[in-house]
Amino acid sequence: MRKEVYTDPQIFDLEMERIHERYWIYCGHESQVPKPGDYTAVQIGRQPMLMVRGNDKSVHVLYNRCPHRGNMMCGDRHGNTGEFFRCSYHAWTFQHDGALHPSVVHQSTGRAAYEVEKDIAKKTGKAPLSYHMLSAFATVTIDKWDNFQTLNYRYGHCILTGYMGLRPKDPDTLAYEKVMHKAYGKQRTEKILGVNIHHVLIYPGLSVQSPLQQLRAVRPLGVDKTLTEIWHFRLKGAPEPIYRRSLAYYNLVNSPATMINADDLENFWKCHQGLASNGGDWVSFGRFHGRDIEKGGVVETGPNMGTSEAPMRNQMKAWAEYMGNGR
Amino acid sequence: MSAKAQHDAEQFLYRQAALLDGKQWQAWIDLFTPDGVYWMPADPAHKHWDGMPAIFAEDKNLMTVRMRRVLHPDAWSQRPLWGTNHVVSNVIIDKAAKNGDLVVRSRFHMMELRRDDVRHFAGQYTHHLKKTKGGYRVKLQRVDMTNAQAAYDYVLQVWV
Ligand code: FES
Repeated sequence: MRKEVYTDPQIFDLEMERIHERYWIYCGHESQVPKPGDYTAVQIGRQPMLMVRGNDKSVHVLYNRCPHRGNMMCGDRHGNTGEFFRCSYHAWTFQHDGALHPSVVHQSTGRAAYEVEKDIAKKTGKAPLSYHMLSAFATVTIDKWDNFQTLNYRYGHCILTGYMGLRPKDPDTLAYEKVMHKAYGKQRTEKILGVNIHHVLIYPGLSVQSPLQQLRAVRPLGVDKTLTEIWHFRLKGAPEPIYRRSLAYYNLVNSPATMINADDLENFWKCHQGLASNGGDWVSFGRFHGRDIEKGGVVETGPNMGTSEAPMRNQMKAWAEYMGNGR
Repeated sequence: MSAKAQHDAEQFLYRQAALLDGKQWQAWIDLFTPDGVYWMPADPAHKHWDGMPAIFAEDKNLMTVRMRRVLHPDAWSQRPLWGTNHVVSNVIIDKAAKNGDLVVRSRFHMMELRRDDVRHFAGQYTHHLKKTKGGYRVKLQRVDMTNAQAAYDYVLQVWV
């Protein structure tokens, strides 16, 4: 034997492909999944797999991968998935045999913050706005997200319209508006503060969140590693509470102890796990495809179709354009 | 500094750490005074928790949000096998007030397991302890991580 059989990663990959992912390999014993919905995760060759007991008592073995964006379906080693599998990323739902079940995000923190917000309001009359920044992430149904809109520009840029209601009529905001009036006059102030934007995405790696004075630089380090650098800003001359609002958002949503991005980051990690499988060669950006509205080169998501994957389609179009330019 | 204060402070720190390892979130929160704050500065040079970017700066209300979040069935990032192991040591009483309140410095090491991956965190605790009838309560817990300034690979789900 050549020693490369033991050391060369390419030979290892070939061995996985031609032996361990092709012939009969022990997956598990059916007694590991006695009840309907019981599953256990197992690696076969390089493939993350799931063995699951169906409602009809039969045992299925599936790729541990969501066909949508490739998210790993089950993050745990074993457990019970209930009547269906539900993907943690965009809540696609699947039967135990893997069939798509005809049917949301940040629920955990959003609900928890909503409850505490209510408790504080009961005790003191009004909870600080920072609780709303968290509870705004709670969703009862996916419809809520469909109310928003994305505007997609050439070269992959995108605007997500506002949804957090960050121009409330509280004394701090009113004081800020007064300062703005003084500095810019009524008309220009309206123009600045009336902008209904949550995020501006500047392809390929910058995101501006103007209502919260935030800037994020997304820096790719490798195929499965990305550094996100987050800056928050103090507006010159604006009252201190406006800075505090931005700071609270920064601390709660974007610190390394974030209560909002924790699940997003988990999903991104799980996408890489799922995509390592041969469960499919494609990821899907098809939501509401063909129903976007194009106006003068800008692609808008249609009414009540805010969850359209138009921004991803738009970015990948730019990606293809740039990548095709070998100059 | 009395040997008893030293002993009591140590016991308090050990028990507090044990509550984290045992995922006894509510009991852990209960160890804070009503106005108590848990603070992990983003920069060791920071002097005060209020008005500064921080990794954690939480009063009891925010601690409650965090607790309810991790207990929610849809907190996906909580779904894999997950646990911690704290070791607390080098306990030094920096200040002892006449009324029994203490400022206590200590060193910690925390090993965290998520799925099959192990992470290690270490640093310094500074506890501002208030003496009450029911034992010490935390007015302020400052946690200085040795890697406070480094990029974080994945997030800290709960208090360290
Ligand atoms: S629903 Fe699974 S990746 Fe989108």
